[in-house]
Formats: sequence, structure tokens, C-alpha cells
Amino acid sequence: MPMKERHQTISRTTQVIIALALILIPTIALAVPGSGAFVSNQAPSGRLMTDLYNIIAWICLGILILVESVLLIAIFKFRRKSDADKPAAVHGNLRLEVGWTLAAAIVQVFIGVKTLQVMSEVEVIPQTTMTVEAIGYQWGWQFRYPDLGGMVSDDLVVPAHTNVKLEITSRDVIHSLFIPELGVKMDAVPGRFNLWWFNADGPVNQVVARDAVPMAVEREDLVTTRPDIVKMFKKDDNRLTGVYGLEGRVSYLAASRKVGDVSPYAKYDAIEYRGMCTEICGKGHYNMYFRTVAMTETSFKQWVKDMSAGSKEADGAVIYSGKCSSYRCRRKGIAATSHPDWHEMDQRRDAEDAHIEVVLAGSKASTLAGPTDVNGTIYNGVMQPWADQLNDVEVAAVVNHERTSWGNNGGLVTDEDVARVRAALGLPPYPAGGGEPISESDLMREGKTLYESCAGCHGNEGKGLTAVPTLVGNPTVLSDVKGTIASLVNGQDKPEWPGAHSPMGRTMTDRQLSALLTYVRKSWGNAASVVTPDEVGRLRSEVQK
Amino acid sequence: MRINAPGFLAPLNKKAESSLLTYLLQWGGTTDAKRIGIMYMVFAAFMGMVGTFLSLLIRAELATPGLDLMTDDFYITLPGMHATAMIFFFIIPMFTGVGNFILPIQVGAADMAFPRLNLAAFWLLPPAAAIAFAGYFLTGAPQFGWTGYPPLSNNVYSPQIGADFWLLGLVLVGTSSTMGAVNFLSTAFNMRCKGMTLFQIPLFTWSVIVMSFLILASTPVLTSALIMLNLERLFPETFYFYDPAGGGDPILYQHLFWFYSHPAVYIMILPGFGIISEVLPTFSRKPIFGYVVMVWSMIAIAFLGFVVWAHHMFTSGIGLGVRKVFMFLTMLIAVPTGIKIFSWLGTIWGGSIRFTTSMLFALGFLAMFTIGGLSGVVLAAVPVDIQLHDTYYVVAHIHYVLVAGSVMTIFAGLYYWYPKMTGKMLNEKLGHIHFWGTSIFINVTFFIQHYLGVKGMPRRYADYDPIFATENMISALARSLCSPSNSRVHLQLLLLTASSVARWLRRTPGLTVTRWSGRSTASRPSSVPPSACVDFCNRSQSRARRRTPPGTRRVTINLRAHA
Repeated sequence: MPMKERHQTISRTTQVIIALALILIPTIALAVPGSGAFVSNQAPSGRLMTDLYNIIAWICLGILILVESVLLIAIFKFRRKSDADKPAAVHGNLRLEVGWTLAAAIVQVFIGVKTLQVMSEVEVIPQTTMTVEAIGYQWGWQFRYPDLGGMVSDDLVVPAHTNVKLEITSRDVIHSLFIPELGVKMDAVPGRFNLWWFNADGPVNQVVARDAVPMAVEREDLVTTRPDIVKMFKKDDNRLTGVYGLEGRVSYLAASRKVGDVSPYAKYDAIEYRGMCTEICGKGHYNMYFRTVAMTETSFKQWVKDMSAGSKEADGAVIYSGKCSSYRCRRKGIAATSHPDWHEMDQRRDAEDAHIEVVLAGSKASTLAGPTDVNGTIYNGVMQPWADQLNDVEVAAVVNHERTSWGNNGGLVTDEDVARVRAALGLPPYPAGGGEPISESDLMREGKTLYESCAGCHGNEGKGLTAVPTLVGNPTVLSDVKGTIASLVNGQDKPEWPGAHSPMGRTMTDRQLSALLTYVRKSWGNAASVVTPDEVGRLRSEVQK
Repeated sequence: MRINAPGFLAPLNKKAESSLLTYLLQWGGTTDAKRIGIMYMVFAAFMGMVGTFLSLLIRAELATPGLDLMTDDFYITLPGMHATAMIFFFIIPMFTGVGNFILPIQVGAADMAFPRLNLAAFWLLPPAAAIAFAGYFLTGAPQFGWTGYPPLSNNVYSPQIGADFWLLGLVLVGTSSTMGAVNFLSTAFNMRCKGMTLFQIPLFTWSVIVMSFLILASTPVLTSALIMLNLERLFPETFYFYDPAGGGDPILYQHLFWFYSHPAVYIMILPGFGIISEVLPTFSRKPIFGYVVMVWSMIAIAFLGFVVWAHHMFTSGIGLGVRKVFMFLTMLIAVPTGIKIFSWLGTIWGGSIRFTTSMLFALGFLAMFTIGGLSGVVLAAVPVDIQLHDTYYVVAHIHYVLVAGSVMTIFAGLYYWYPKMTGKMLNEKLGHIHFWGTSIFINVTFFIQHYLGVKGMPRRYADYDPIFATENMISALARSLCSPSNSRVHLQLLLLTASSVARWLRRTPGLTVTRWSGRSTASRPSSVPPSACVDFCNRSQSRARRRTPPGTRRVTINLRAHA
């Protein structure tokens, strides 16, 4: 018994309206100028990407409209009129099929060739005048300037209208550097340097290029007008401390555009863009914002000078919410296996040094990750060493913030305490390269610590092994500073030494290299001169590939 | 007490009629491909609901900026587990189930080639799902997305035991689908009716054949990549496949992973193509347009699907020359896909279209899958992809392909073949509400995400810049409206169950045999196919013969040989 045919379950008019809405609204919406506009328009390469996107998007829109129109016409023209309809059984049409195959192929080849042209301009790195190393970590970025003596910064600050080469890498997991307005995106892969470039040529001195950036105040409104009912879902202590609520949300602002505060770059002639991470890298993935600041040449020089001087004031709460709150302690009462709970902090004064030590040195393992020993409890989390990113005042401020918040009532530490712990750990002072000349004894002490990584092959006495050259009386070590630096930062592969020397010095700062070289050149009977960080910086820029 | 379930849900013998336990045990141990197929589908539908629930959590969290409902610690597990549920436990098993039911019928085989292997393949899945999701009930679900890139997924950065379980669950799924693929291929190549040539095989079966080849060639690669990762996790400082500290390379994993996971996209869409190629001709009373070209384009898609994996890695630092090659190969895939779209349009053109729910889903698939295909072309261009990679544009693209693509075809197939399985029709009125609600709201949910992408909102963010607040709110609202529309189908299945329970209570027998008044009305036998598929062999034969271009030699079938 055949089922009774019902040709229309909804009236035809309704169907027409709905079908039109269904298919045409997205189509029209795509065509509305600006609604889907590309934002990468503040760099020449970004504008090329945008132009290419526009070409491809329009072609695709054309194809979409064609397909949807044919479909709509077929739907309305070939409705079943009666049960007796017997349409002709068409099995195909060779001419038509060959036609649309060729048409599709031609469109694809056209798009491909257009894209190749753009690739040769966007993805080939031109002559650059400046190099910045972008180093990702869980969860933040560090920008290192090899041209400026290994200076580091939290934000990517570059002179405007300059070709900048980015050397992108990571300390722990894979991240991805993304600056939408400048057309920059490249993965930060541990163990690799990925290269990209940009030239920020947006109008300097405008605080922002587009409405994308001044979100600070708006964001603050959203924070304060949130209905309380939403907070009902949260644990009490979180609401009080704001660990998951307000503070977590403001952290991005605090780190990068503090609410109610002017940008730290407001005093320069500069323009700021957002920057973030686009490769999933753990729970703090969304919280890896940084500023990309393009400045005039004079402002940039001034900024470098200001950076070398270092700041003498620091707000621990700001640093904490910017750099440390992603790692924030687990909720109270839940087993904290990855990071310690502040509520269970050892508040005694004699725990202070251990606290500072963890902040400065991070996880004790040679890699950054691994077990961290906090007062005898082992946490299998990840802790960055902050010694080369925060100066003593800042470390003291953040430690004090941690020791006096969340109901803690610990004592206060000073920057002298930090400097003492830093020296005890054999870590170089920060900022590197600035300030007074470094004493030989400092370099020797730091070098001795660093040499421990080399002792595995070269031996505690520098004597080497059968296949590892000795360092005692080694002519290259003693007389060829440039050659030694080259083998450290570029690696070395000679037939007589089958075990190749990997470029292990590449991630070291100038100061660390100078300490290591000084130590090797002045130990075990070697008596060569001190190598200063400045000299290392100069020679390194000559030899580093 | 008598169990009186309709169609293929009916008890096998008298004993099962009176005892629920025997009834269920018979289900669990059946080697009948059609019943195994139904078990696959029920399991997949359940996991689909799990995945839906996780996606609702994601959209609810993202409705407004800020961490409103959950911690970032929990949120970061959601995208990965949602994808795991949907890809490995919903779409792939669903198509395997449909294939189990339909493929033997279409080639005229009484059962699959290896019935017990078939049952074993199914019974690997529920434990696999339990293991993969066990993390939520143990120390925490994996926090590295469904891609699981090391070093994030190694023992240092993901110490949760849930991550080990997840890897194990995925290995089991891979084993299960490999077993299924072997079975499909043996059945399709060895158990066809006498005289049925390769180019007389119905298109749905062709799609399952091509899918099985894809599974067979790609899944072992994923399995080995996952086992290598698991070795690295379980024996730290012993194995260094991916860890650069010991001479490994994290990019190696990406190559291995995408060598499976790009073909997986076609594993998830090709059977859908097959379903559409069955539904469109039936309800427009026309044969499929360009049958041979349809088959070859499927094979071409499958072949090209193996040589485009690196387009997922354009920003990972692979060389410029490699990027160029993979870009061209990627763009090439649009050609066979375009051919299929145009051929489907050619099928309905000049037909006599009847708008059943099944047909509506098929037409909706045509309208929306095109959007997903075209955004794929946009993403293929390397400089554009560099800007859009890992933003919401990619999220929109994948959901247009998988939701507006695969899921719409699953619904089309459900409404189309449900009578075949149970002898009952699904309610068309509810079906229409289901279709319109689903297609309108998935468009609103996902189309707006293209805008988020071009404006630079990265994926897998628990909290985002407030400039994206409006779009996210719209997306979340539409998503929440999409679920009730989808629940129409659950409602229907519930009503049907209820009605059969009621009938069972009243002890009235009742099987309404129905059929679609398609093109081949006269040749159709009863709706619930008998277990020995002689007359179905007859049907596919007559259909295949009609598809054969004029001039081809006709085949005669000796039915008795298969009885």
C-alpha cells in the first residue's frame, strides 16, 4: 500500500521565504563590505594577503551564488506536480560534464597562480635590518634582541617602517605567534627556529590603528556590570580572591593594557597592535597576549635606553596577574599536583629565600619543565625561570604580593634579598649588559655554574675524552674567541670529532657566554683574558648564522 | 509479556519474545550485519549526544567574554573531547553502521564476509569510548585538543592519566574501524550478485568501498603515531620520538597525525556523498547524473586526500616549496568535489522533486556543503591560510563540512532508511521542523564564525577579547536553538518506542509496511528486507541495469544460485 502523497507540508509561500532566507542571508552577509573584512592591513605583506583574500573570496562568492541559484531554480521549477510525473531518465551529458570539470580546474589554476605571486613576496624574507627572537613559553612571550646585546622585553617593540626578521622558537610546547594586523603567524616549535618577517608601516602616533584595540574601558564595564547570578556558579574563595573571576579576566589588561592606566608606551611616538598565541598550548592558551609596538626611530632609541636602565618601581599585583596568574594555584582542597596552593604557603621568614629561588630559577631541571621542589613538596608542573626577565625590584614586588595576598601574612622581602639569592644561585644580574662593568670574579662564578653542562663531555678538569678535544691549552679556546663563540652558537661538525658539537650556546645570553668563556679561559692552568659581554655581543653578531 | 518491536528490532525467536534478557543477549551476540549496523547507529547516536552536550558547554562558556561558567582548566579539555566524541564515536561509527545495514543489501549478499569480525569490531567501540572519556572521572581529561601535538601531550606537560587513556581509546577505535574496513572490502568485492560488475555497484556502496580503502591505508599511521606518543609518555627518558631534548622532532608527529586525519575528513564525508547519491535520484525520480564520473570523482578525492595533509601545517615551518606543492594539490581536490556538486544538481534538474524530510536534508546538504567547500578553497591559499590558520574561520569551515555536510547526510539517510529498518515511517511534520530548525540555526551558529576568524579570534580560547562579544553571543544563542530542533528526531524515536510499547501492552500486532514512491516504485519489495536478500539483489540489479549506459551488455542473473 503506497503512502498517501503530500506534496506540501508547509505552504509554498512559507517555503519560498524560508529557503530564500536560508540561502541568501549568508550569501548577502558575506558580500556586505566590512563584515568579513580582513584585518591584516598595517604591513605591506599583510596588505598583499588581504588583497589575495579579497580576490579568492569574490571568486568563491560568485561560485556560491551560481550553485545556490541553480539549486533554487531546480527546487521551484521541478516540484512534483502529480504522482504520475515521469521525468526523462537522463544518465549524463558528456559535454556538460567535461565543461564544468574544465571550468573548475581553470578557476583553481587561476587562484593558484595568483597565490604563487603573493607567496613570492610575502613568504620570502627580504633584506632585514633588525632581528628579534620571539620565544614562547607556557604562557607568555619573551622577545630577545640579539642586535642589542641580548636585551629582552615582554612586548615586541620595533621601529616602524623597518623590515624586522622574527626568529620564532619555544622553550616548552608548541605555540604560535599571531599578530593579525601585521600578517604575522608562525608556530613556535621547541628545538627549531622558524623565520617570518614584517614591516609595521601603520601610522605611528595614533594610539590604535583600528577599533580593535582600545577595548580596555569596554572590558572594564563588562567586568563590573556582570550580574551576580553568574558568580553563583563559583566557589566562595574564588569569588573573594577573584582567582578565576575578575582578576583572571583583568590579567590581560593588567599585563598589556592596564585599566585606568596609560600604556607604558604612551610616552613614545608609537602605535600598538595586539599579539597572541594560536596553537593550543594548555589551559593558559587564551592568556598569552602581548603588545606589538611600532615606534619612530628616535623613540625606539629612547626605549632601548630606558630598558637598559631598568625600572626602580614595580607593582607586584600587576606582575602577578600578568605573568603568574595563569599558573595560579588550584582551588583549595583539590589535590594540587601541578602547582602549589597559595593558601598552604609556608609563611615563615626562613622560607623567603626558597620562595625567591623558585621565582628566579624556575624548575630545577635543565629543561624548563619537570618537578619543582617547593619546601620539600614536589610539583610536577612547569615553572619558568624569571631571573632573566624580571629585575630584583620586580621579583621582590611579586614575591611580596604573593606573601601578603589570599590571607597570607608573610614578611616582606627587599631587592637586596633578591640580589643575594640571585648571586647565590650564580645567576647574572638583570638587566643584562647594562650598568657597571662586571667583575672578573662574578664572571668566573657564573661560568663555573654554566660549565657544569659542558663537564659531561669535556670533563671536570677540561681534559676531554678520546673523541672530545681537551680545553686545557686548546689553541682555539685560548686565542680564537671568535672561533669559540662560533662553535658554541653555530655548532661544530669536524671529521676528527665524530660527536658533533650542537649549537648549545645559541640560547645563551651574551653575559652567560662571556662568563662561560672567561671561566674556560682562566681555569685548569689556562690563563687567557676575560671576555666581556659586549665583546661577545659584537663577535656573536658577526658569526651567528 | 511479549516483545513486539517493529522491523529489525523484532525478537529473533519465541524465547526472546517473552524474555527481555534473552532479547538483549541476542542483540549483543548477533552476527547479523543488519542488527550490528543498528547497534552501531544506536551507539553513535548516544555518543553524538555526548558530543552535543560538550559543544553546548563550549558555546555557553563563550557566550560572553570572561570565564563565566568553568575554569580554564576544565574548558581546555572541551574542544578536544567534543571533537573526539563527534569524529571517532559519532560520525565514523554512524557511517559504519549504515554501511553494515545497506551494503550487503545493495550488493546482494546475505551477510558481511566476516560476521564475527564484524561483531568484534562493534564491541571494541563502547569500551573504547569509556576509556577515552575516563579522564573526566579520574585525574582529568586530556588538555591538548583532539590533535594532541607533543610536547604538550607528553608526560611533562600533560601528566593526567586521562591522557594515556585517551590515547588507548583512540588506538582501539582505529583497530575497530580497520576491522570494519576489511569486512566491507571483502563483502563488496567477493560477495556481489553474480554478474554485478564494479560499475554497476550502487553509489552508496561505492562510497563505503572508497572509505574502507582510506581507513585501511591511513589508520595504521595514526595508531603508530599514538603508540609512539604513548611510549614516550610511559617511559620518559627512554623514547625520544617527538621530544627535541632527546633528538626527536615534534613536527614528525604532525606529519603522521595529519596523514591519518586529513583522509579522516573524507572517511567522514564520502559515505555521506553516497547517501545523497541514493536520496536525490529517489525523490526526483531520475537516475543519478553521470554515474561513472561520480565513482571516479570519489576515487580521485580519496587519492588526493592522501597527498594534501601538510596543508594543516602551513605555519609549522615547513619549507616554501613544500607549501607550494601542497597548496596546488589541495586546490585540485576542489575539482572532483565540484564535479560531484554539479552532478547532483544535474540529477535534480528536470526531475519531479518530492519534498520529504529526507530530500530536504539532501537539498540542505547541497546548499550548505558548498559553503564549506568554498571556504576550503580560501584556506588552501597559503598566505590567506597563514592569517586564518587556527582562527574561528577554520572552526566555521570544519563545521560547515562536518555538520552541514556529514550530519545532514546522516539525517537524510535516517529518514530515508528508517522504514527499511523498522517498517515504520518517521513523522514528516516533526521531520520538517527538525530540518528547518537545524539548517537555519547551524547556519547562524557557524556562518558568523567566519567573521570571528577574519577579525582574528583564535580557536580554543576560554576567554576572548570583548570586541568579539556580539558574534559569540549570536553563535551561542543559535547553537542553543539548534539543539531543540535536533531533539525533534529524538522525540520521534521516543514516540515510536512509546507507541510500540503501547502496542505491546495491548498485544496487537502491527507493522505498517511503507515505501517511498520513488522512481522504481514497481520494483520495490517489502520495506523490511528479508534476511536472505534475494529480491534485493534483484532490485539492485534492475537499478544497476538501468544505470548502465546504452550499448553496455546486459547481465542476466541467476537468482536461484543465491537463494
